Amino acid sequence: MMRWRRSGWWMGAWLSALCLVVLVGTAAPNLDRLQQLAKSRYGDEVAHFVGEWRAMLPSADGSSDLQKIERINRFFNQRIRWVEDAVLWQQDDYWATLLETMAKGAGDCEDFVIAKYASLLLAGVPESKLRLTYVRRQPRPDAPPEAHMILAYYAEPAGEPLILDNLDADIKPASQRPDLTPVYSFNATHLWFRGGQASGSDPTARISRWRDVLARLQAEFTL
Amino acid sequence: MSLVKRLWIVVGLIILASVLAAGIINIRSAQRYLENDIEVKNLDTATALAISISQSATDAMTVELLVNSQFDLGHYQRIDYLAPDGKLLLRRERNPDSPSAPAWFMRLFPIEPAAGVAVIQSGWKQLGSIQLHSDPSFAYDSLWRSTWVLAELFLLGGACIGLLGMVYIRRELRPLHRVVEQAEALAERRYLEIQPPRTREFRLIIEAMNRLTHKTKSLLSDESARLDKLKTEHEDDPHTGFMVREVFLRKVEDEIEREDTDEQGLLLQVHVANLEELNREIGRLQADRLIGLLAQQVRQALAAQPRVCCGRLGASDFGILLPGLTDGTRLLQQLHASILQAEQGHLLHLSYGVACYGPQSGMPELLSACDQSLTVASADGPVLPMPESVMSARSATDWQRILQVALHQHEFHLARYPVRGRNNSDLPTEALARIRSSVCGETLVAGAFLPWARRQGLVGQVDLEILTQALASVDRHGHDICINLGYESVRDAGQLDRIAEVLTQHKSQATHLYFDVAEDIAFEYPESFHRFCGRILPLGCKVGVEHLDHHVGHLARLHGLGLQYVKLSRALVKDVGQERAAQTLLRGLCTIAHTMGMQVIAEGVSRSEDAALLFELGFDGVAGAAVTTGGAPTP
Repeated sequence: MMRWRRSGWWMGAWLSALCLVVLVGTAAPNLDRLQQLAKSRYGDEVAHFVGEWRAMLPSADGSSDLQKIERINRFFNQRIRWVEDAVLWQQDDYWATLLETMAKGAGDCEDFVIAKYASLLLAGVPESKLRLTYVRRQPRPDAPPEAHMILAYYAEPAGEPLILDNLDADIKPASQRPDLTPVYSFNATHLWFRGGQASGSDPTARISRWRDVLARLQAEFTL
Repeated sequence: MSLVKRLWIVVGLIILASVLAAGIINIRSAQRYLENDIEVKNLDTATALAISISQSATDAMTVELLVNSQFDLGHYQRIDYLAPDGKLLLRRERNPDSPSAPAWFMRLFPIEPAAGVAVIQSGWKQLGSIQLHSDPSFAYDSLWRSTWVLAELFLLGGACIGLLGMVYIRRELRPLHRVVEQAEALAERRYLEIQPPRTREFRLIIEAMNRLTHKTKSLLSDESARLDKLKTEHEDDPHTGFMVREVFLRKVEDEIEREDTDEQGLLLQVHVANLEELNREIGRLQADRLIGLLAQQVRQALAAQPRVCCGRLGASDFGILLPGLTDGTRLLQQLHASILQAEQGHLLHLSYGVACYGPQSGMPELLSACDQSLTVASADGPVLPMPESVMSARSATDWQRILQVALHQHEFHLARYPVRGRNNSDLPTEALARIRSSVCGETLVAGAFLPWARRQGLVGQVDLEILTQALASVDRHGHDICINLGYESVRDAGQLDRIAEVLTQHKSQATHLYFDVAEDIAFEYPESFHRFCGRILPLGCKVGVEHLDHHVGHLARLHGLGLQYVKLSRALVKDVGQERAAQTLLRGLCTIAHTMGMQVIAEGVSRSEDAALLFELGFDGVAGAAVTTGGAPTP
């Protein structure tokens, strides 16, 4: 049995209703406003960087998916430095938005994946083809395995994916990445909160890290 | 509908509206919360399931097996397994429990959580996705139950607030009763002044009514004073302050004719034999001063006598009426002594005459008897043979027996005299008490037995007996009836309680009962009279003042008592046809009495042309021989 009569749920209900309004009100990507936000929040330099990113971003109908992932993968792998969350954010694990990653010019594997994922969606790549994937990485058989995250691109639902990895500059099919073992993958397709159709969640108590970053991406006009 | 009820309804509606609004918001939030909670749970469970399947499944077959086992052991309503291309591969579903919440409630507050969805893969290979649905019936039940708890709490809270509201409204509206009371009093021409309450609106109303009251009161007092002056000028001799001849004679006549006063008494005459000489010798002014001194002494010497009145019968003759007195020797000597003491020059040569009157006495005979008995006062004082009493003398013992027997055998009865209103209408009949005594075989009038009853302390019992008779008469005939009460009944609190008790027992008859209270009681014991009115009027009876004469100028003092009528003494209305000044006075009196909401009734009107004139002057009713058919009372 669910217990809903806990202290403060009145407040929670009102807050969530308020939040829903905010989210729905800003729920469309708007790159001009993203750039303004970058300028007002981080200054001209970051705004300029965002401008470069926008120039790089392939148009939705122009090129093929492969060209798009190639271009975006390269942009982030070249322009963003890999830095641990503990150093960058003084937190164990922090999932940064696209804007935050560009503002820092740095991020860890999740930040790369999120930045690429958001950029690809903006470039018109269907979400159903993209999977954020937890992988076990063992560069050498004698090395200790480490936790890593990559972005997988499935041209066919049942086919072999291409791997977009910040540790490997090239995009390779999964079979050519024996160092990676997939553990679990996900995307935002079935998250009910997209499109604003369902009720807002209780933002203070029960938001997953993934949904949190999606909400922040929306708030920053990226998704 | 009363204001309190209206306010109470408004308060009730407000409470209901707020409770409903709060309740709906509350349920709505709970509904969203539950829905959200289930959705999150669905998602978490789907993800956990997908992760565990992803670790062990290698093909769709294994996935189906895992889903089946999960479904069979778990508490899901439905689990769908879809291929990567969205095709449904497997659906396991069970019928949801039917919730205890009613259908309309579920329609009003639907709980429709989205399914939890998670993708499954084996290695890099996608195996599709699972969709997980939960049974919302328990959520409905929970919502339904909490709605009930909420409704109970709100109802309790609403009732408490309503109760507090009602107490508050009652407290705030308390001054309203006083406002209403004052307004009703105004409508009945009773002018009450009330302490203004704190509530602004009520205060304004009461202050306005107080101003009106105050204005009316001062108007009435002014008018009364004016009339009093008029009456004094008209009726009083300027040098002595005694009544002028005509007024005095009317007064004597009234005293003789009225059956509720003492049956017999003395008429004393003081004659100044040498007034003409005095006028010549010491001058008219000095002589008048001397006469004034004489009058002052007479008044002082007689101050202790009840119902005494003095008149100037002529330039050198003074009349003194002493009701109830049969032997005036001592009184006469006192009187003479005090006159001599004041008038030290022994200038006045005084003679005294005396006559006794009874119920049958005629004025001319009485006056000539008095005149004939005039005797010059010697140096030792006046020596005057007292006249034989006109009444058969009964001893105190006789009277005691008569009264006791009358009380025990219920020998009292009421003689009823009609009172005619305008346009020949009937006003409440005046009922006078009599005893048909079996002891002496006579019918005794109030004036005869009342003095003895008073001496023996039986007036209270007599009044109660009369009251009972009157109530019985009302019960029999259904007519309004007027009765007299002795001053004991007005002044004695215990007696008043007994009267009120009798009236309370006969509530419906009491409304037909009118109490005549003599002016002496009403004006000389105002607190008692006030208490009497305050006690009797709420019981539905009416109260009026009768025999109004001497206190006409103080009419405004009756203000605020709620009296129904005043009856003007026959002495005041007797010669209305002849005297213009009397007409002015009476017209003014009627105006004042009407302003105070009282009817004016003339007593003892004997000529029907006088009755017509009195109605013209504004009187509302007349009593007396003019309206009594054949002059005899109806039994």
